[in-house]
Amino acid sequence: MTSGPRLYAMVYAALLFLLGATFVIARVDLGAFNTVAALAIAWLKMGLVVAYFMHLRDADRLDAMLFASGFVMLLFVLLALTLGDYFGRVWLAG
Amino acid sequence: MKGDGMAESTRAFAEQFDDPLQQKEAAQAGMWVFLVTEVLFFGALLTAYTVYRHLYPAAFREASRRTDLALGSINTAVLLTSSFTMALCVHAAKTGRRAALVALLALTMALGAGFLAIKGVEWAREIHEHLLPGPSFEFPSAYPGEAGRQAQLFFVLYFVMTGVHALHLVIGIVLLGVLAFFAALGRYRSDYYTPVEVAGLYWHFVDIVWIFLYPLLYLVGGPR
Amino acid sequence: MSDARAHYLNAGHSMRSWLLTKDHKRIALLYLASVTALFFVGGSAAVMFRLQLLTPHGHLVLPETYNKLFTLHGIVMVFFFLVPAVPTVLGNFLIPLMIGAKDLAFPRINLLSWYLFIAGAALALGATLYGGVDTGWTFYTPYSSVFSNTYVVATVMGIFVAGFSSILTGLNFIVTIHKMRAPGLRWFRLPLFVWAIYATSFMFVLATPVLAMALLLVGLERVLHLGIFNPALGGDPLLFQHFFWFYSHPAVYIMVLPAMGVISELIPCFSRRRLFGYEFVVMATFGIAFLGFLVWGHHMFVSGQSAFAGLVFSFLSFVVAVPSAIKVFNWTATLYKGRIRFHTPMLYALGFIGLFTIGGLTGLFLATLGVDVHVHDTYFVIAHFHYIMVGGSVMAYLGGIHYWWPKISGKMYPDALGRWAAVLIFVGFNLTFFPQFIVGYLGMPRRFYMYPPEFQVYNVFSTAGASILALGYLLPLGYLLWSFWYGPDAGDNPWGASGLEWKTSSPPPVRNFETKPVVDEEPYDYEGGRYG
Repeated sequence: MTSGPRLYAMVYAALLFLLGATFVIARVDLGAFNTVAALAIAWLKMGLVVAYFMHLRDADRLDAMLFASGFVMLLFVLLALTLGDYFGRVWLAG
Repeated sequence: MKGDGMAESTRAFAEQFDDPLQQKEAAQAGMWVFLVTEVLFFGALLTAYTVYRHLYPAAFREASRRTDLALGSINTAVLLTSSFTMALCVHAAKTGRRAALVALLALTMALGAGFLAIKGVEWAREIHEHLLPGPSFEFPSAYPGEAGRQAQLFFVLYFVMTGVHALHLVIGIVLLGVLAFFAALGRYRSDYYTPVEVAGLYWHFVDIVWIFLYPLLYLVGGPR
Repeated sequence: MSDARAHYLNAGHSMRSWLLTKDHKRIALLYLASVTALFFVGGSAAVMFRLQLLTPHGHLVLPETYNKLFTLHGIVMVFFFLVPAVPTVLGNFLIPLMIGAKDLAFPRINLLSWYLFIAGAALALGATLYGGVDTGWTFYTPYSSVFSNTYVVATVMGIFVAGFSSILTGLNFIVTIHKMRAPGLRWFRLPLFVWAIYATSFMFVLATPVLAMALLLVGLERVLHLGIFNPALGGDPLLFQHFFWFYSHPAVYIMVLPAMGVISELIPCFSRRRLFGYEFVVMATFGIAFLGFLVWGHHMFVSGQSAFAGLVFSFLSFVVAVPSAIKVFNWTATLYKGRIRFHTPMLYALGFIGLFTIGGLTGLFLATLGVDVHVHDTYFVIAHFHYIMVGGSVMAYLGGIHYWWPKISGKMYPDALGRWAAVLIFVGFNLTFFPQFIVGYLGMPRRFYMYPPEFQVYNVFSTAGASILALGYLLPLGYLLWSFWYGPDAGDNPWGASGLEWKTSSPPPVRNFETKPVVDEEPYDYEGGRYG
């Protein structure tokens, strides 16, 4: 079963459950882990939407590669190298 | 981003292609490439957010607590629901059920409009509370000095991010309206529904953007 | 156009048949006309400030006007000529022909791209007519977002709109190359020009949106007085520089990768040899495309960026030289023992190799942290990037135009005149820009409308070279236009070149090929006896 209303309903239920989970976790003080947990859940939700609603599981390898390239660029290049500057200002200050 | 060249011809596929499958694959790949662009478009904003939150963690926490958590959470549920109905749209198109397709497209549009309405209420409230960046911005803070300016940066990013997202949603609603119109005319059949599928990809992507905006804007304040 | 055979040029003569065309070949010609016009707009600005710099205290223009002139030159040349030139003119014309397709995957989006480009150019040039912009093409904040009293918002929006043209063009190329190759045209049989455009398209799609967002934020900051990049309001101006160079450094490779693709076509054809190390050149293309994204911080060595980031970006900048060098070695090795024919396109190709090498090697000086502190923002930098952009991209663009002109127009231009123009451009270019290496090293800063008298001799050389260069650019404009109507018929394959584009007639029919081509040969098979 790769698609169909039943599967979509299950994915939808999982998404709502994750929304509830992230809402509840945010009410507990975990320090820095609040952000980690919130983002982990966001990634999980995105994974569900992409894999099932957008059918990336069944799509062309090309489409998957394209989509991944966007995230690689964003996370490992734009975000990482820019933050490298900002963290570096503390590490090598003086 | 519908199947290009398809609109006014009665042929099964546009003349630059060899066969319908090639056209379908091209349209899908085209939308995925477009979404990659969108990832980086929002990515610049997310990077700005990350940088300023790294520089001003306390002010960002405090500012985030001023957002409307209840409405934001409800809105997340609304948008997730619209993604669910969008997936059902594609399924209805695939199985050739015209009436169901039109109804589901209308429902998805309504959910999108509902999201915008709730967002509008939030914005109105925030403007009323002087949280709109600019000369009227006021942020009484427990922290002395720079905190007001730093909190204003949070709200700059908040309004730009939610604003650009809302603009994408408006485009999505218009797109679905066009699809609903053509679906009612019976243009989409079980062997040709690429525009519905491709519009669905876009809609889901707009949902994904919100999936990230929600924790970053509403939840970073920690327990309220 | 006296011949009876139907082709894309005689398929309609009305204005409408051009302005509403969905034929990639006609859209390529629309771009050709537009970028040529814009090139001469940007060039005129350069002529003006070169004349101003003829004397140390030139009184030709006011300082404010001088600022607007170099800004206009930079904006037009970068965003409206160098970035679009090779992909939209040659890429649009050739990609479907080279892969044996009838058109691009999305012809209407292709036409939309051209209109977006025109709209963007109109906005940016309109701002110039109203009074111009003085921020430099880099729009550094907070000057651009707070202090400048010029038309920043309109210009920035023009570039924003033109950015979507780039994105949609890249999108179209990626999908077309993936989905519409002729039977038998496996990935590793693709011409290197197609590979180059493919890699460039990814850079369009991945880099342009970040610039678009950065410029949007500058516009918002300026109009609504927000503080996103304004230190007085808690913002960080360096963040803008990060965003700007995240696009604008890859943009250098957006300019030079398609140029390298052109060179990889010209060198084998006029050496009558298979390209040396085809696979390595493909890999190097992708190496450059990816590594090109990792080096933007070398523009910010003296900006207050952290020393840690400077270290990382310096190292990565050295790494990106490796794939570029691989290509130069491969072209040179292709020449070795080749039967070299010195036609006009080949002269441009040989010029490219030399000038690109000088530009690339001086780039390594600038990638060195300590040296950069000395020469940053001097004419050394100006000379370096003009060797890459003019010596590299423009030379290759002109070489490509001359190489494919018989295919585009069906006519041949006077080759002797073409060779003279190529030599003139080469000499004029070096005379203009080589003195700038020296005067920059001696400490003359960029973007000043006056300078100490001891630098005058170098500036006189530069201005003299610029006038030769201008003449060199006007010549092809003249004889190519002449040949379009009056030139002798070129025949389908005047150079005896490999590649699918030469297997159809010149000019090609509307749908490119009479019968769907099937590919049964390896690329650049010049030694297999097929091409004489």
